[in-house]
Amino acid sequence: MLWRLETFGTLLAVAQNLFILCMEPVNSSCASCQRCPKDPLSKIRDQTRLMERKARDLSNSYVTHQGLHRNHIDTLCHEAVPGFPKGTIVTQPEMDMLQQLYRTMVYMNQSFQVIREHQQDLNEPDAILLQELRHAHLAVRGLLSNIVCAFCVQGASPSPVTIPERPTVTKAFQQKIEGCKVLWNYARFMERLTKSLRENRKQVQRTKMGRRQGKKKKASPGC
Amino acid sequence: MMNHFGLQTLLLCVTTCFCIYHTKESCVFPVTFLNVSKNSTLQRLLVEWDVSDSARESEQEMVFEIQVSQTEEKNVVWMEYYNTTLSKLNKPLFWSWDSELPLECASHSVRIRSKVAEVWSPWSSWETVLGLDTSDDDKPLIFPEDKVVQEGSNFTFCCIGGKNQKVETIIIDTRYPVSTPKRTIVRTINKVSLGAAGGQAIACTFAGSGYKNYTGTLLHVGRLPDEPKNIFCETRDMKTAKCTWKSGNNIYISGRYLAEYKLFDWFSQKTLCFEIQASRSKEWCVCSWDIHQQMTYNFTLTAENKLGKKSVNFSFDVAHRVYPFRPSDLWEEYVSASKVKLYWTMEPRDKAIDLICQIENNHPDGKVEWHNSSAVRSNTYANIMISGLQPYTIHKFRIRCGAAKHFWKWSEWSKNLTITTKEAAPSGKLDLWRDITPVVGGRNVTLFWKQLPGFQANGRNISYEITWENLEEATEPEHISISAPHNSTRICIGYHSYRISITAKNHINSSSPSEIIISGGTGNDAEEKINATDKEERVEGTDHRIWIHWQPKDTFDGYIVDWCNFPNSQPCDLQWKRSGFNTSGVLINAVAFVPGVRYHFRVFGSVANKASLLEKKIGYSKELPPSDPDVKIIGLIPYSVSLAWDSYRTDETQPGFIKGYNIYVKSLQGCNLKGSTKYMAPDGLVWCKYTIKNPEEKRFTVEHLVPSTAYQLAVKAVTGGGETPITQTVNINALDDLNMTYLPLVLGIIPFVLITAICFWKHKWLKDCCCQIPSPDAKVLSFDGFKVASETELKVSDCIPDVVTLESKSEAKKLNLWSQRTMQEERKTAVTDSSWLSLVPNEDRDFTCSSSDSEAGIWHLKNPVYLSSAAYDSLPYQNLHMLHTSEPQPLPLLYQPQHDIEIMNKDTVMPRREAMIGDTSLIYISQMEASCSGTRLNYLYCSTEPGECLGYNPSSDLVTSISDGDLEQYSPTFTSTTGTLLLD
Repeated sequence: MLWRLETFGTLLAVAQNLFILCMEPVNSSCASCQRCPKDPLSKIRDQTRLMERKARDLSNSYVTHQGLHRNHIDTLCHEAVPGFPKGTIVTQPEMDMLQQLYRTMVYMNQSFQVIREHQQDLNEPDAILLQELRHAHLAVRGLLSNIVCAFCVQGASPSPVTIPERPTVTKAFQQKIEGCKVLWNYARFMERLTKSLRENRKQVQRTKMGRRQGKKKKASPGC
Repeated sequence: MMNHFGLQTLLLCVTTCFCIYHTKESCVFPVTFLNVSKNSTLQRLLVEWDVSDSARESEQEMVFEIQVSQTEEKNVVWMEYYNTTLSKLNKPLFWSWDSELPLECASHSVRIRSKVAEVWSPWSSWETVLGLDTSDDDKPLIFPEDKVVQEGSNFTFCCIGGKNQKVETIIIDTRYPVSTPKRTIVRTINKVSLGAAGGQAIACTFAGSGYKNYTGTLLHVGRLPDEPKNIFCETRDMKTAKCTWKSGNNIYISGRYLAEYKLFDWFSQKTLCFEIQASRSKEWCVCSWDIHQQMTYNFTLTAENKLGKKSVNFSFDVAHRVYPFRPSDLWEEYVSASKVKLYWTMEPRDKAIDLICQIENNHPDGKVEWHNSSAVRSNTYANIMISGLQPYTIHKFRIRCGAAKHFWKWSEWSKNLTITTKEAAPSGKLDLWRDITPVVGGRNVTLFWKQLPGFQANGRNISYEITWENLEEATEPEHISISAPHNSTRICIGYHSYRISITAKNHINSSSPSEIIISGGTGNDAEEKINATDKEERVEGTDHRIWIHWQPKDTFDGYIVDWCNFPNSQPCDLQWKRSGFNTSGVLINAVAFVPGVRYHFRVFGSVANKASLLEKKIGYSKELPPSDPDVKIIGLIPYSVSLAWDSYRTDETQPGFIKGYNIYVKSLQGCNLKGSTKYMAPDGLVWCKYTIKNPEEKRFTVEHLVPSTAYQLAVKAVTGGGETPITQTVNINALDDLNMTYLPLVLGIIPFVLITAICFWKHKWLKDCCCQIPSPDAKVLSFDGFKVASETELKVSDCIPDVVTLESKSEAKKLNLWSQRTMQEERKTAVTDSSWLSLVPNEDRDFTCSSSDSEAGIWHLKNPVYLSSAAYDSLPYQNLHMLHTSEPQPLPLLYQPQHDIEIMNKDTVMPRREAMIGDTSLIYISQMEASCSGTRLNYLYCSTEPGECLGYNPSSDLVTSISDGDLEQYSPTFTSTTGTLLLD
């Protein structure tokens, strides 16, 4: 973990240097980073924290609006769908983590597109659920943008991802269930992600404090 | 013969047998073809069958019995007779059956037989449509899928498991376990109710291996669409038409199941619109199409959803429903100060629609005028001349148009065009009036003017040109110009007659002049008067209105009433009102009129612009209750009280005409005064009321009061507005009738005095008669024949004041000298009356016998007692002076012969009286033992306790008295503010 933090710090320094380099009007990959925030990782962390709560609310709202009973959810929705990584991605190296996050968000971007289309057939144009889906979709796009920025500031770009194919669903019930599954998995993923990030952050702080104390001990060996 | 008979019989038998056979053959037409299919969405079983051609050719009426069975066991669930007349055309025969159970849920079989002439054909074989409950598929299924049903209907569904699956649970609003798991389960929900917009989810879960372990469907519960309402169609440009209608009530199903609207034209046989309601909340639906050449339509508008449809028919003539576009580009061309020409453009430019337009003219005063144009073509520049406009006035114009033929509705208004018309000379006349004030050598005439109705300034920079000329002397007219907005000025004229004229002028020209003539007058006549008395008549008003009337005279051609809106201010805002020659009154209606203010009105008669004063009036628009008089009591004697309020003003300072006064009297006993009337105040109290009707009578005596009774009095002035409530009163106590009080006392005392006098006169005789009385000390008593029977006569012991005060040292000295002299004289003078004295040293100069309770009663001590300061030191009771001095001081020789002492605190003294009598500690010193510096006085014991009253020692040596005459000569009137000692 410590190593990862150091790597993270190094990467930040690299990103900083890259940012300085970006000041030069040269034809490089940095051109796309110009509109990126200074600290995309921090942005991603903040953004996921916000999205986690929204994702949970959206999942509940979706269920309510679909005429789905709690019993439906337990039986039909709580099922893993391919598209979300298994386990926590925070424990992976940072670039891998970003790539996994990127992949998941690309999947979610596409899923939101499909869910919104399905729901437009079932709801009024001004239905609250459609608005909530739109906002969540925009948030995913924003997160994707910041992930790309996080790659960008490190002079990289995310690898192209292949989205696992989902069976084409024509029946409205199945569409609802598919949406329910995706949103439930999305909420769980975001919950795990923010929890891991939070714990990771605490650990970083603890490590920093341990380092300071170690230095102090070295300075006063008699103690 | 026999052979012939036998042949005939054989032929008959053969014919009969043939006929029977033939009839049997032709009357039975069994079904030759039967096909059964299904429409899953509609849950409809479609049945086709046919009979033989010979049957068709026979064109007989036939009855077919159709049986429908479900499941493999061929349980008949439906039976129906189908009547038809066979023909060559209706081939094959068709029948359908709507199933409550989705057809996939079970196999459905159909068989048919026919009947001709009461003879049934044999049944056809069962023709079966297989359900999916018997398929070998692994995939679980549920039917129907995404079903839309009407609110309140029953909904039947089935779940079919995969090949090796059995239904475990059904989830609707909750989880329903299936008690006996089967591969297919059928359930019916009765009277479904409205639910989620996207449909209510229904699912089944399965046990066993299969493609997946659940399946589900959606149930959409809704209503039939409403019949379209408020349909109207119109065109704006004759190129496209548009129909609009209201969709009606919520059908509770949305998304793909919303109602569809179809507008079908029967003339062209075209569906012009196919509109799907965008959302449940979208109330209005719109359909538009190109008109081309078709001008009339016969429409059927159908609203349809999955549950059914409703339609409405109507026709539409485009030419009768033209709703033009809003006119634009409105501009003006000035023709004159009162005329303007307006131009505008219309749409469409590429089509010529005959339109009429309406121009709205908004005047600045809020007045609105409308002008209609003649028919104009939409593709031309239309114009209209608007005349009769007010010069130099802002006008707002706007315009709208409608079809000239078959008017349908106006277009929207165009944008406003605001113009200011050109200037012109002022029109109309001014109304001129004046107020004349005599001054030395002439008259000041204050001129007032206002614009008469119809007057228009018609331009900027208005000024008022005033000219006055002497009508008796040939002099040059004088002139003055006053700029607006001034509306008054003052000029000075002589005693001659003058003509004064006024015109309004702008930079174009002047208005017609208005004139008044002021009659000549000299000296005292210069002031306008009616007659010598100049009396003002009272008039009554209501809120903001006062009616002024006068005696009309034939000589006048009109009347003028003037008044001041603010009579107590300067300038008073003079107003005037004119009325015709045949009037005798005018209603002055002024918002400025304030209740409680007295207004003065002058009525002038006018002839040939010359006005003369006729009458004067005063009045209030509304009288108010006046202020209360300041009442003073000018006399209070037993049985009556006199009140006066002389200073009370009855003039115009009052908010109404004072009509008189009401005097109110009240006691605790209520109203029982003679000559009064009872009056119950709003608060319920009863008062005696006296009324004075003369405003100048400002005194009143209330009589018949009951002595020693408290009364409340109030005086209220009365106007037409009434009087103020009784809030402040004058309180009095009716005096006692002393004659009645003292008469019994006097009658009691006289006999006592007479007896006493007789006793004194015959005292020796009495002495001889009675037992012997011990003689006082002969040394002390030098007066012959004078003895004091202290215990029997001296009543000092009854009460001793706790404070005794002498007024001043000078007086004390005087008294001192007096006392010395008197003491010597006293030896020679027989004391004939008792005197009273009790002394206590005051802080510096006075002796005060104080009482802590100033409200205490008064005790009278008899017999004179002299207190000497010389004796003070030897006084064993130091508490005499402790009342008011912190340190004992030598008492100056002070005494004051007094013949009466009032000692306060009677109540507190009384209880101690008995205790102190006989107190042997008291020292009683003869005054004859006093040194030259003072006379020995009897020591009075003053307790430190408030109000303690002590007697003198009955065993004392000497008590002397002085005469009343001496006391009166030397004793100053003694008044103590503390009320402890009073000297009469």
